[in-house]
Amino acid sequence: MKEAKDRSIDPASQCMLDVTAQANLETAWDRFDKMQPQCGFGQLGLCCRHCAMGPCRIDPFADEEQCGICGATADIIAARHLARMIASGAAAHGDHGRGVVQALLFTGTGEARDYEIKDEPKLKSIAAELGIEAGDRSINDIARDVALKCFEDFGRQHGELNFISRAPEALQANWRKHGLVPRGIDREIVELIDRTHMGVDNDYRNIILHGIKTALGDGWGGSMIATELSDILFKLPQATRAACNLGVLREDCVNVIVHGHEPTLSDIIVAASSDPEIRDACKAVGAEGVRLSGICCTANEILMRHGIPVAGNFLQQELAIATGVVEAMIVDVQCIMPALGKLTKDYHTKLITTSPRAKFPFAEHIEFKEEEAYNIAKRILKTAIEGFPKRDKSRITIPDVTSDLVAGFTAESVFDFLGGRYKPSYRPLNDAIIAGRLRGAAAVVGCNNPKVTQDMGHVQMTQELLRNDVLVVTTGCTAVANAKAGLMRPETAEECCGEGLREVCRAVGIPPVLHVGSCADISRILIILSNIVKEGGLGETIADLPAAGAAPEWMSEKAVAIGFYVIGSGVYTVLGNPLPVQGAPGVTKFVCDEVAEITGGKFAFESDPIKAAHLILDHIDRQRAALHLAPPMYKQAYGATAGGKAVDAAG
Amino acid sequence: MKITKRITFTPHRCVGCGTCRLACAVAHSQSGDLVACLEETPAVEARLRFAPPGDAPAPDPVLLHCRHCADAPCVAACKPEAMTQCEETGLVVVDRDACIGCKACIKKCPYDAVWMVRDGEKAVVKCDLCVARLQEGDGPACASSCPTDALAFEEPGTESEGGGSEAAGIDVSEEDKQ
Repeated sequence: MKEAKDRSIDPASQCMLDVTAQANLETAWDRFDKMQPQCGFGQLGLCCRHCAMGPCRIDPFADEEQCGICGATADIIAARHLARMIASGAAAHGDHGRGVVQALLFTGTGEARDYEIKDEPKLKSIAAELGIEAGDRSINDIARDVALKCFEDFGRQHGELNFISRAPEALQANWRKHGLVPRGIDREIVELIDRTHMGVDNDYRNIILHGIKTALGDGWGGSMIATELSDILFKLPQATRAACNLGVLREDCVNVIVHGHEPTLSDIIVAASSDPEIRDACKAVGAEGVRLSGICCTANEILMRHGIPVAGNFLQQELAIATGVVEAMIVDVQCIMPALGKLTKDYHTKLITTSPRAKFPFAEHIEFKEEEAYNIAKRILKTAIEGFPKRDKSRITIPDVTSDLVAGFTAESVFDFLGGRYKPSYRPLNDAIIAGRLRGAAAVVGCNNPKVTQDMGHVQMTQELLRNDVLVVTTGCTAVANAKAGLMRPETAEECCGEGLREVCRAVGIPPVLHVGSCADISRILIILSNIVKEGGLGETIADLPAAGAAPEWMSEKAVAIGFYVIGSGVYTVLGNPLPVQGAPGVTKFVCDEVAEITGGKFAFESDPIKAAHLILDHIDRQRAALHLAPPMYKQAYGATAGGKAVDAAG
Repeated sequence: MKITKRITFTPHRCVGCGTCRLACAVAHSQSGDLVACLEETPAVEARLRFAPPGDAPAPDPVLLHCRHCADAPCVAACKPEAMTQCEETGLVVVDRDACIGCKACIKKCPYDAVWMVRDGEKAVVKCDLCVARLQEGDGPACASSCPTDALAFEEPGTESEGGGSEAAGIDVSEEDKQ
């Protein structure tokens, strides 16, 4: 068995891994070890189970080139499987978005009385963008129309998604030229599944291009709707200080962890946790109160809107239970390990499922309905409180590890910070890039994956980019990793950034790593990139920008969908774990090279986070050269030249 | 030191996944990496394979691999003495450079466990029982990778019901390292 330090760089995780090992409790890391060797055919993308003539697999070491029983080559098999991953990821984000639209609709119609429109200016701004007359109509009326208009995006059969018009015009034109503008979010997902049925689309390029179209329906559709309507309903996040890591759990409180993705439930749980009835119930069992914290993207949603602490990221969900102080883990959808059910049975912890589409073994199901949101939230909290006296005091370990962070930046608030409240503009950001004070910008996002030492991919890559004057935006489990490593404090700029980035952070008082939300909020990054293009001076389209994306520890199908909407929008993207296509040379070449001719973006696979950061820096340098920008203003740690002079690469 | 353990195969445990073939190929590659070895020259290949189905396919797969026979007919048939039985380990090994590709060993092998190399060169290839791995204390790649323990590395005649086994610290002479 690997030692804890080889499994995670996070001291809190390391501490809890010792606890689980001593208690003989199994974690994802243990199951990963037991799963070795993992199936090479699956890894290479050479396994097909799409029909009952199969299963088929392509042996890469066979005497002659093999194909499936239907004649599908390695490229066809890998492309079809990849497409289904995109469809699943886009569907997950789509249903997340749909849930938020539903909540907004019910708020507008008055059916969901526990919700209210928290951000009127944003509602009006989105309504105007969608062509909805505000006039002197009530806020709820406008909200209802915005919701109905957004619902149209899901089932539309012809035309274009509403928010496509937010992209730079050159990008829109290019998408139209190649037939890549999504018509309806659901429609493209259905067509992608259809195409991958036996004997339908057997041109791997054609399959993947529709995969990109489907993914664009996620980034500029499902995810973007989720983000924008969450802002309307639960308010636009503001930069806020908070704490994170397992040390936020409190022995004297009823610890409730919300885990999953959708803000519709978690936001109401936040409100209910300070209800007098709940406070009294806590006192009755001898607890100081409810200590609410989050895991995965639910954590990010309530962190950036309410400053609720983060207990951890994806690989810490089991470790949180093993602290012995969690009374309830409330889950909705996505990235929730089925292992939690059995694990919680070993403790007093209640695993409470809330979504009709996500039930788990050994869990208690308390179904969430928008119409009765507050009462359901209170019921869930009361169930948690009942568990407090059942704690086994001999099995409590709370790692004394927390980090401070600043979270909650958005496409809108970047204006405030970079342009100042009285002159909101992206101009200073563009100017900093043009002048070479910033070498570029990068989005580092994604999950945890036991194939990578937990958080190491995220943190090492982010640090290497910061050293080289690259401003980093981050979401999801990467954001939590970077926060735990202390990279999301304004003071970080003084500690580990290049001179140019340090100057920018000092001037505007931001951390060098900007937390822009949950994984669905990667749509905010699309908007930020579009705004940078529109501000001018850095090219005509997103593909022209000295910017890149990375997912060093990705694991979910949502990450695949994100990857494809990002490359589909023109962003060069480095993945830590390769896509499962490397046994298919045509597909690999297409997604890592040829597709750039069409969309401007493409993938690279690099598992070493430092080398991956260097691929990003090389790309940024090429982009800067193509835009005839000045060289970086200050000496760079890696590559490039400063002020026209060669720099020692060792820095 | 004689290596007396052998790869054993329990057909009803085999699900035909082919993981053994991938592990074998990777273990005999230069890079030792599944993705990188796809591009290597000479072409990397597995040294065990599934028997082609006969007229009446058996319900369980048949896996063809060298038994390292005590009195190996392939060794006796090999004129250029490319196929030899190592005195120290007792393993049957082939020197690819000395092999002229006459196929005499292929014809004589009772287990169909020898075949011509993939890339057209006139030479044969067969299982070497992963001598390099044995020296490191690992078992043969195929047996170590088998997810259902259909393949095991153990003393012949002591076959456990699918019990995989590890070969630890077996001393292998220099000439058998490949």
